[in-house]
Amino acid sequence: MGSGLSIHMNQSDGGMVAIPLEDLDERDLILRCQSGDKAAFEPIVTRYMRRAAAFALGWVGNREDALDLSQDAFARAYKALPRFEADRPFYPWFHRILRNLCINYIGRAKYQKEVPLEDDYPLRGRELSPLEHAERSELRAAVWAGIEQLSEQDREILVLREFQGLSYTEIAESLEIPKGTVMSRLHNARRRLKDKLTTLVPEKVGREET
Amino acid sequence: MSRDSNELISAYLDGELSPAERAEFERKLASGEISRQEFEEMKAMTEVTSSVKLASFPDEVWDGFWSQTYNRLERGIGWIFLSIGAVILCSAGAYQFLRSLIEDPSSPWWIRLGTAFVALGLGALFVSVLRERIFVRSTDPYRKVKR
Repeated sequence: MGSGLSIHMNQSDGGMVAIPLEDLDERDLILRCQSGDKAAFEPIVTRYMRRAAAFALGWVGNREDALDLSQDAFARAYKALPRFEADRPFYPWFHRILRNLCINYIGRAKYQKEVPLEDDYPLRGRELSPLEHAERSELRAAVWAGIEQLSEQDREILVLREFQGLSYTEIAESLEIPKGTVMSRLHNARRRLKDKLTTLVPEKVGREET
Repeated sequence: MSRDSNELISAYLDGELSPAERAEFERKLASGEISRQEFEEMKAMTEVTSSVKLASFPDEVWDGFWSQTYNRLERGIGWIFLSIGAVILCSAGAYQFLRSLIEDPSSPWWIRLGTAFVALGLGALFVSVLRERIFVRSTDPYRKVKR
């Protein structure tokens, strides 16, 4: 799959030095990919594969399809790289390819739906009772059902923030929108999710008596 | 409550405000400029969403991720070559078959005539579809949109 080394001229003595591909910056890697070096794509894939798969999982809901879609997105991105400007950041461009694949995928009539959520809170070393297990399971299902009912735009920003834990700055870079827009979109998405959850699990997010 | 104040609730809960902005937010919350009820509801909602996380992938998945992606890259090129080869072979085969059928004096005249019409019809349809594709490509307002 390639040597994994890039040959460069040493600035001090004019000799040639071999630099591991993973030490090259993203722009150099993309330029190498554009000249047909598939091996140069490996560090890029390795850098973003977890983020891509997690994003896809937040859309499609099962791990197998999330991996499949993220690999497909990387393959499509590689084929489209000749049209990509190497000076631009790779991930926001790739993110749109992945997002479109995910949207097409969930638009299909048949796909394996699961609740891809796990508990993320300290148990303090104790076992949950069967009742608590059932309540947590119901809550996870409700959160996922609420997210599935949202628009693509709301869902995208919630997955990036709530489940991938990206900062507002990182979200702004990924979606290529201003940070203020992130703040407003995220807040509105949360309000709409809260409305869904108020119906699904009113005891968790219901209005307090005032 | 103003639109900006609404948005600040999320940013406050996410720890995205500067110390000065946090202090200002807390002052507005205490004075009632920002709705306490809205704040508590949003806080309860974020506590619910932060109590769950996306299912994690097994570590071994990442070991094979690149090789599987690489296989797709190779396979894509393979499919392109296979498609081109198949089109060439099918076209040549169809041409030879039609030619032998039409030129064969032992074939009844109506079979030769029917075959010639089928060939002409297919050719006309192909040219029509090709022309439409070229026209759509040149007039598509989204053709320069990067995907």
